[in-house]
Formats: sequence, structure tokens, C-alpha cells
Amino acid sequence: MGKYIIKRVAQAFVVMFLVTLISYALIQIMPGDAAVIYLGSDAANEELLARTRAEMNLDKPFVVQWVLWLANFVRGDFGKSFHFHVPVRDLIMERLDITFTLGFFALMLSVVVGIILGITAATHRNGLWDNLINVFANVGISAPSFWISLLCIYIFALHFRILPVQGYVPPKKDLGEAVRHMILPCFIMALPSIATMTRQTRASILDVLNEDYVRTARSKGLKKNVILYKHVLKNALIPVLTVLGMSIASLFGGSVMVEQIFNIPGMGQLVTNAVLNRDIPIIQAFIVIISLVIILSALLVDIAYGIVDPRIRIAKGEN
Amino acid sequence: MKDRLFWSAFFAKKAVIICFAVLCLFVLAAVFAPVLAPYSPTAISLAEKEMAPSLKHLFGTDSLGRDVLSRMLYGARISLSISLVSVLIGGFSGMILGTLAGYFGGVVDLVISRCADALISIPPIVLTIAIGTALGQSMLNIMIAVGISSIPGNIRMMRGKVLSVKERDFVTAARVIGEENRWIMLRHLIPNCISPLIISVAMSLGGAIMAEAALSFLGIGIQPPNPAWGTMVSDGMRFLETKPYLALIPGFAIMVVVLSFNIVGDALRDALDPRIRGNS
Amino acid sequence: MAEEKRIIEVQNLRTEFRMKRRTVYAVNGVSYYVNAGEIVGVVGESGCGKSVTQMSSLQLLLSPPAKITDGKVLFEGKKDILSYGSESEEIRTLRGAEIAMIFQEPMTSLNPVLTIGEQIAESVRLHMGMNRKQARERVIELLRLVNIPDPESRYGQYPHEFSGGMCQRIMIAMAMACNPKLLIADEATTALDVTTQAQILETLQEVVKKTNTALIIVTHNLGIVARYADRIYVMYAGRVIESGRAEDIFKNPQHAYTIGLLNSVPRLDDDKTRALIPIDGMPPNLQTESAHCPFLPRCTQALPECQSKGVPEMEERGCGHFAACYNRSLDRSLRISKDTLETKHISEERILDIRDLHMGFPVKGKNYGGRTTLKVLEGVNLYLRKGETLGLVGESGCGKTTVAKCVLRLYAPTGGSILYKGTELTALKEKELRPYRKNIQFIFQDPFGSLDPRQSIGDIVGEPLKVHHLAEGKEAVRRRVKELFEMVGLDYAMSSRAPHELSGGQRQRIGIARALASEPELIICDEPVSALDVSVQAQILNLLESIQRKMNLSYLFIAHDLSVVRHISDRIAVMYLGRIVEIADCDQLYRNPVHPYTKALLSAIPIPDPEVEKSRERIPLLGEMPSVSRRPEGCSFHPRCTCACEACRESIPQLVELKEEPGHFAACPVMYR
Repeated sequence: MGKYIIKRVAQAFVVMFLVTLISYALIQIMPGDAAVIYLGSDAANEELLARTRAEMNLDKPFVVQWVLWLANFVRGDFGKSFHFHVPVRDLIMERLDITFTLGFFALMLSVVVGIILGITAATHRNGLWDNLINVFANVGISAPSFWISLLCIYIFALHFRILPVQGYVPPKKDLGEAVRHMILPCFIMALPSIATMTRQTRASILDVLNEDYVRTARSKGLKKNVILYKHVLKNALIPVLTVLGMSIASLFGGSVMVEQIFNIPGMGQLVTNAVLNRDIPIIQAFIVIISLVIILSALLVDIAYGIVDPRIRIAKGEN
Repeated sequence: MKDRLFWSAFFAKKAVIICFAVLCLFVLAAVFAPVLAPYSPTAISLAEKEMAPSLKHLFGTDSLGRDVLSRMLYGARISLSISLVSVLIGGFSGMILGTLAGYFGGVVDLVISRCADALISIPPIVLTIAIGTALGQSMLNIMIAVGISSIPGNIRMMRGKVLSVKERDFVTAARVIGEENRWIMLRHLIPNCISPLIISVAMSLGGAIMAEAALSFLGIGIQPPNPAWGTMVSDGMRFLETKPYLALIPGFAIMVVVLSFNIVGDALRDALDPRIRGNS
Repeated sequence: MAEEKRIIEVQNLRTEFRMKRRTVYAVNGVSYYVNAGEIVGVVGESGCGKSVTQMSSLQLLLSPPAKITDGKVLFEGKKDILSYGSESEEIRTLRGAEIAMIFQEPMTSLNPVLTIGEQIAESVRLHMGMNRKQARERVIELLRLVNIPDPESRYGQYPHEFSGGMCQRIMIAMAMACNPKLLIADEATTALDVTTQAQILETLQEVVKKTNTALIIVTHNLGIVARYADRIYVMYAGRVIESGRAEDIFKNPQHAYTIGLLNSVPRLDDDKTRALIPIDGMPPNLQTESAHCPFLPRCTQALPECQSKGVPEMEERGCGHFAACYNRSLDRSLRISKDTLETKHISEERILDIRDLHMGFPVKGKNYGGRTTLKVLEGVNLYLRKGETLGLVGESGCGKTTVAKCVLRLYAPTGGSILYKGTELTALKEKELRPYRKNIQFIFQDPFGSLDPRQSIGDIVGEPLKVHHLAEGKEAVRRRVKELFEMVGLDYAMSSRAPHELSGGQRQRIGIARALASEPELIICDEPVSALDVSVQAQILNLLESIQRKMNLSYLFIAHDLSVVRHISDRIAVMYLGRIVEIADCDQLYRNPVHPYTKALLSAIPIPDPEVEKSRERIPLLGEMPSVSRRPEGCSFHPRCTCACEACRESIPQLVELKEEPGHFAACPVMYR
């Protein structure tokens, strides 16, 4: 097991490294000179331009640029925003917790609701509940989040006026209001994940129900619920874990859209504005931070695999 | 007989027939948009702005007096072409890279797989946005950005499939007969590995449409005055309280098309691969 | 007699599978009973409904698609247990407690994420009301009963830490946990090796005799029922077509199908001249309810009334012997093969000569980054003469397929030499090897997996012709493919079909046709019939024999089934853990096996004849075959050998020719004395 974890951590490092390479490469593939974008109208000043280029290491070969950038990044220096001309780090730190809070609750929501719906659908196979949940899951996967957002705003905020249209209230200021403002964004961020979790849980429970060992359990005379919760679920949730890992990626991707629509001052909104301003350093920092979270959660999922599945725990640990 | 079985399995559910019809309409609308559209999609007529749906303007007009129906028809054209091209870019690159990784293994596999891992750990929409921003906004760049974000998934799928098929007895049989590697890959491996890829490519059409709509919605996709469904939703957002249909109709269209692609894709998978039929 | 107590009585059971487009009538009015302490065998080929019948009686089938449409199942003569719902309290208290079941695939029948102790204990706690501590003691006692060494420490282990044979023992322990009155073993040993199979069945027999439990053995293997069953039910197409005491069924079969089955399987004690008579055709697909005897289309002894009357009823033919056949004067004689009487042309020329072959696979070691070698072959010596069939037998994991793959150079051997007609194959590069590829061909075990599902069977057979440019032009290829189809007994009109449209036997014929296409001189057959039904096995064996004579082929015939190997081979080599332990002429080996492993292997194979079985000596084997990574020092077999001496533990015995029998080699120091 220890060796397995070490191997996975090493792999995660390599992948993280490649992510920084990819995100740094964005500057390279960008048409035009980064320094020119940074300086804007001041770029006419040749001397200033040259100095800025040197400051941004743009005069060095790509690999050197990347290494220097990476070294700064590790030290917490994410560069200066092209648009705001302030350190990206400050911009991001102000907004990090908002996005993570939103992401965390959305994740919890999708795990709990997804698994419950999946179990309900699987145990009522081809029944009314199954069909309803199936429709819900299909819509959840297919509906663009911006559209669902607008629909929900229209229904709950504008028509029934039970929830606020948009905005963000820090929980320290007014917890009740904070929660009210979080409900819609959280749900909408979670929706695609809920849908995929539901489908995966249902599919893998149905797969496991066909396994020989379930027949064995039935032949022992165990109760239906004991079979479901003791024999089936533990096996069925193993593939669900994989989907959970992928859900984290799509959750944070969703934050970009949701924060923009609900006007929540998180990282996603920062990135959307950065995109419009072609503020590459912010996008780079965002990519690296989000990927770090995703790679870490994938790592945790893999370790969790080892804990849930003795085949991996013992095989990978001893050999 | 095989074909008939396939089609009857494919159309086994009513929902699939409806969705298939929706897709046919969508493709027809995209292809014949110039014939079908009653007005020019970009013709501004401030005299007729913000009109409610009527016989003259079936879906009403937007804030600049443009006919929403005409814009939607042309929007379908853009959605369809972007999704088709991007999915082909992603599918083809994924097939080549995945086959190489699976067949040769070793260092080739290591490099390709780790790169795929890295690409997978960036959320697809963020990756698309980043590539789109860096490349600049043009239709081709959007296609490339959307296409690249689907490559890693396709690599993994193709690689996994090649790895398992490589071990099958018929590949051993080909080696026993004395066939060359190139021949084995082309004649035996790719034909036996391609169907999940085709299914996945078909299923990712919906995702590509959604990605394009999201980009346009954020204002980094198709640029005005060109009509894209995502842009129309974001334009209509301002009038959500008074004229909700301006935003909700194009959004609904996106959802219906994506939903149809997903359901038809599911049905295609189930019909082609009976072993995973139990899932649905 | 007091023992004549009915445990279970099934009457007129019918089960259907209702699928979307079709209904399969899997069980069509099956009736049987089992008395206390009795061992009953249910035999039949795959798809005859024997497992479905057993699962139906316990309502274990998933519904939908399965539906029990008629019948009664009386347990201990009391209420019909079919009237309880499939998940009712009543049936659950019977399952596991009164009637227990063991399934075919031991590895997949145990839950991978629960410890084996817990899996056995949960039914003890449920049905016997024990607490955790008592249950644990009971489980350990059970594990000891089924001969699992060191049960205390293995209690907390997971299924994947056990071998297939051990898993099946665990399944037996689980089944016996609550002292059931009836135990059903559904193909419980099919997936296991012959010696393990014998061990498991002996354990099972011992356990049920000790506890006076009734046992139903469901199997396709006639030998097993002959050896263990008191009474037998023969099933075909979802019906019982014959039943009676084991001795009566084998000595005096009363149904044409039973006779056909007995005539189609090779026996270990066969005369070399006996011909296998395959049952032609295929079992009915059971999608329509037959109006006649279901065996009629394949029956060679049908009477006019078989056609005019309906399905025959079971009628008594002797004391407790029933059969459903109109023909009362069936021909039971065995045939003598004309082919075998013609002598084969075996020349002295060695077509294949394997000397001291070593094969090791690099595996990741226990230490970080350390690599060790898994030595699968440790000096294999054998040769094959032109026109001869050499049988290579051994249990799974002994390295027999590795030998084949080395000869085909699918693996590059790590040592030793392989001479094909004097040419050293191990030294050749892939390109230089190509001309030899057409001379050495391979027939696979899995007839389906070895055919590319995306190609038509005509293209598959034509592929070697194209690769080696053996036929130029479409017409020439077509003509040659047609020839090959006819040679293996297939209709060329089928050539555009895909492999999945064919039956197992037809697929194997395609595999043979492909191997023959390049006119090879040597064919390596790796378990070519083990995936096929017994009646189809005979067809393929006969085909292999006849083309050998026609084309003067040499076969290296790899199999685990000694009776099949004995039927087809001229000489036999026995392998154990990567070494040859004995080679001899077929008859010598059978008459006078020298190596203790060969003896045990021979005695583990049941012969489909209860009378012969009664008089046979059973040689028990100790423990299980270890994996090659833990090969014992000295003679690899010594830890399991009952007559091992000091010399066996120290040095590796070499193959030595027996003085009194030239050509008979064995690697056992005990025989020197």
C-alpha cells in the first residue's frame, strides 16, 4: 500500500509539472507580444518595452522562461495582472475561499443527492421513480448551466420572488442571507455532477446485481437490504469513486459560468473578466490552482480505492 | 438481418425516435437556413425592436429589431459546423495518439498518457477558454479549442481498447500467420477498437455544442453580429424580467439539441454494443 | 429403510426466459426427487437447462427475465416452496439453512470486498442465531472441515488471496455452515484442474457422508457422475430424458441421447481402436416448444413413431430406471475406427526438437525497483517425429502453453534451443522467421476469441494465403478457400458470414482451416476441444485425426484432459511446474505410469463407468500446485509426493529411460530403486 501511494504521488507530480508547462505555453501560442499587452498604449515607448520584456523574461528561451516562471510560482509569485497591474496572487487570494466554499457544498450536494438518486433508480428499475430520475439526469447532463441558471432565476427570483436574483453575501455578515444567496448557484454548479453520479451509481449497482457473488448472497438467504447495502453497494461504489474524481473537475469548470451569472466575486468571475481582457497571468494561475485541486482529489480517490478495494490494497502493497 | 436488428435495437424507445427527429430538423435547419430564414439574421431594424412573438416574427425580435427565428436558424448552422469539426479534430487525434500509446507501450505510452492526464486535470471549459483566449477569437480557433479539450478522453479510450484487443487471440493468430505489425494495426486493431471511439465522438457532439454555446455566452466565442445561440442567451439576459423568451428560447433550443445528441448517442452505444446494454 | 426420506421433490417444473423479442423455454416439465443422504447426479450438455432447474427450485433466477410458469417443489414433503415469493421470509429461511448451493465460478462467487470469514459467518449468524464469537469459532471449524490449512489466520483474508480450488473449498464451507439437508453443487468443479477437481469432490463426498446431507451434483462430465453419484438424471433440451441408478444408466442406457453421449466421449481406459461417434447437429434453441422428441433431429436411431407421436413420456424400463424414448431396441455397440487400424506414417525424422528450453518473464520484485525473473520453464526437453502426435499434459500454470508460444516465437526463450527440422528457431530474427511461420501453425483453445470479429470467415481463412503469397489473384484465393472449407467439413456458401454467426464447433473448424491454409507440417493445438461441448469435441477430434492422415501432419497436442490426449496421441509428455516429468508411448504411460504425479493425474480422471470406478485406486495428492514463483527446491513435486525421499528434496531429478521399456522416460529418483 505504501509503495502504491508513493508511486501515485510521483505520478501526480509529473502530471502537475506538465500542467504548468501547458498553462505556461499559453503565452507562447498567444499571437502578439505579452509585454505589449501588459503595457497597453505605453508599448510605444521602446525602452520601456524592452525593459518590461526583460522583467517578464520574454527575451530568454521558452524552457528558461518556464523554469523561472515555475520557480516564482512555487514561491507564491504568480506574476502581475496584465489588466490590473497588481500581483495576481492578491487578486486570487481575495476570491479563493468563495469559490472553494461554493465548490465544496456543490460537491457534497452532488455526492449525497447523486448516490441517493442512483440507488433509488436502481432499486426501482424501470419503474416510475427510475423513469423520473432518468429524465432528470438526462436534462441535468444536457442543459447548459447558463440556461438553467436563467430559468431558475426567472422562476424562483423573478416570478415567485423567494430567492435573490444574484449577488454574494459573506457568511460573517449575515448567515441567513448568505445561505439564501448560495442556494441557486450551488445547485446549478452541482447539477451536472448530480446527473453523472446518479447515472453511474445506477449503472454500477445494476452491474453488480448481476455478479455471481450476489447470487451467492441470495442463496444464503440474506435479506434484500443486507444484500443491497452490505454486498452490492460497497462494490458498486468503487466505479462511482472514479466519476467523483472527474466531477470535481467539472464542478470547478462550472464555477466560471455560475459566478459570472450570479455575480459572485470568486475566482471564476475573475477569470471570465481576465478572458475578456486577455489577462493571461490570471488564467495561468487559475489553471494551475484548479488543476492542483483536481490532481490532489484524483490522488485521494485513488488512495480511497485502495482502502475500499482489498484487491488493490493487498496486490499493490505487497508485490 | 444484422442491420434490421441494429435498427430495431436503436429505435427501441420512443424517446430515441423523437430525439432523432429533432436532430434531423436541426441538421435541416442548419443546412437550409438561407432558404428557411424569413429575414437576414443581421438586419437591424430599430423600428421593430423588442417585438413579442407574432405571425410576422414567429419568435419576436431582439433589442436591435433582428428577427429571432432567422438568427436561430443561422445559429444552428454555426453550432453544427463548430461541433462537427471540433469533434472530428478531437476524435482523429485521439485515435492516432491512443493507438500509438496502446500498441507501442513503453516510453511512447508514458509520454502520451501523462500528457493526457495533464490535459484531463484541467476542467474542459477552462481549457477551452484558455486556448480560445490565447489563440484569439475566430471560428477556427474555437473549433481547435473545443477539439483539443476532447482529445485526452479519446486517447484514454482508444489506448484502453487497443491494450485489451492486443491481447486477444486473433491478434496472436495474425502473428502466428506471419503478418507484419503495420498490417495487424490497420486490419485487426483499429477496426476492432474504433466503434467505442465512434460512439464517444457521436456522443461528444452534444458536449461540443454546449462548449461553443458557453464560450459565446461568456462573450469569447462567436463575435457579434454573427448569430450564435449562446450569444443570443446572453443578450437576452438583460430582458429576463420583461421578455424572458428572448433568453429562454435559444437556451431551450441548445438544451433540446444537446439532449437529443446524448440520448441518440446512448441508443447508438446500446445498439452497437449489446454487452453494455444492461446499463440503460 | 429409514433413509428413504424425501428431502426434495420437484414436480413438472417449467421455467421460461421472457426476453423482448423471444421466449426461451429453458425447463420443460422436469421432475426429480432426492432422498436423505443420497448423491444425485444431473448431467447434460450446456444449455440443457440443468442449472436453471436447480436455480428455479430455490427461485434464485432474476425475474424478469426468468419466469417459473408451472410446477411444484416440495421440501421434506411439506408445502410447495414455489408458492412462497422469491424474496419471502419463508424461502429465505430455507436458503442457506436447509438447502445450500455451490456455484461454478468460485472466484467470482465470493464477494471481493468482504473477508471470507465474514462471508461464511454472516449466514451462521443469520440462520443459527450465533453471536460474533460463536460464529467465528464455527467458521474456523468449517474451514478445517474442508481442509483449509491454518484457518485462524486465513479467516480475515479476502477471496483474491486464495486459489480457485481454495475458493471452492470456502464455498463448500459456506454451504455447509448451517448443516443443510440438501447441498446443490452446480458445475462446482468445472473451472478447476483435474487434480483439484478430484480433491474438491472427495472433500464434498466426505463431508456429505459424514453429515448425512443429500447432494445434487450438476455437471456435464459423465465421469464425475459415474464416480460419485448414486442416482442420475440425464437432461436434454430442458427435459429429463432418462433417470435411474448410476450402474443401470451406464451399463444399460435406454435413451438414444444417453447412448450418443457415451459413445462420443473418449475414456481413459479406451482401446486405441475405439472410434468416437459424434452426435451430429446442434441442440435445439428452445425458442419453440417442440412437438416431438427434442432429440429427433439428431437421432440416428429414430423410429417412424418418433415422428408421428408427440413428445415421449418417461416410462419405467427396469427397477427405478426411467427413459423417454420410443425405441426399445437401441443399438449400444461401440464402433471400431477404420482410420486407427490403418497405421500412421511416423518417420524417425525429428520435425521438432526442444532441448533444455528455459523461459523466464521479468516481474517487478518485492523491493523498490528490484526486478526478478519468473522462471516458467526450467529446462524442457522433448522431440516430435514427423507424422506423430505428441500429447503435452499438465495442470494450468505448469507452462505447457508457454512451450507452445516459445515454439511459435511469440515469446523469445531465455535459454535452450528449438530445432525445427534442424534449423535453430531461437536465433532467427522476426523477418528470417517469416518463411517458417507458414510451416508451423497454431490452433487456439477459444474458437471465438481467435477469429477477428470484424472479418468474414472466408477472409479469415484466406488471410495466410495473402500474407505468404500462396495464391495469386482473387479467383485463386477463392478456389483455395473453398477447398479448405470442404476439407474441414464446412459449406463454402457460409464464407461471407461473421464468426459470431457460427456455433462453437464451426468456429473451431474455421480455426483449423486457417491453420491448414499455408500447408504447414507442424500444428500446435492448444486445448482445441476444451471449450466445446462433449458431442462437438468428438467431431473436432475426428477431424483432426483424419486431416493428420491425409496431410501427414505432426501435432503437438496440449491439453489438460488426459482421456482426450490419450485418444489422439501417439506419445504423451507430462509436465509439472515447468519441467517434463514423464514421457512415454501412450499405452506405456497408461499401463505403467512411473512418476507419482502421473499416477495421481491418471487416478484423478473419472471414467464414465461406475463399475470401473468402484475398483479403481485413488491416489490422493497433498496440497496444491504452487505457483512458479515459489517452485520448491529439488524435485518440484516433492512437497506433494507421498513417497518423496531425501534425494528428491536436494537434487533435481533428470529424465531417465526405463530399462525394461525403451522410449519411456521419467524424472523420479524413486524409480531407480
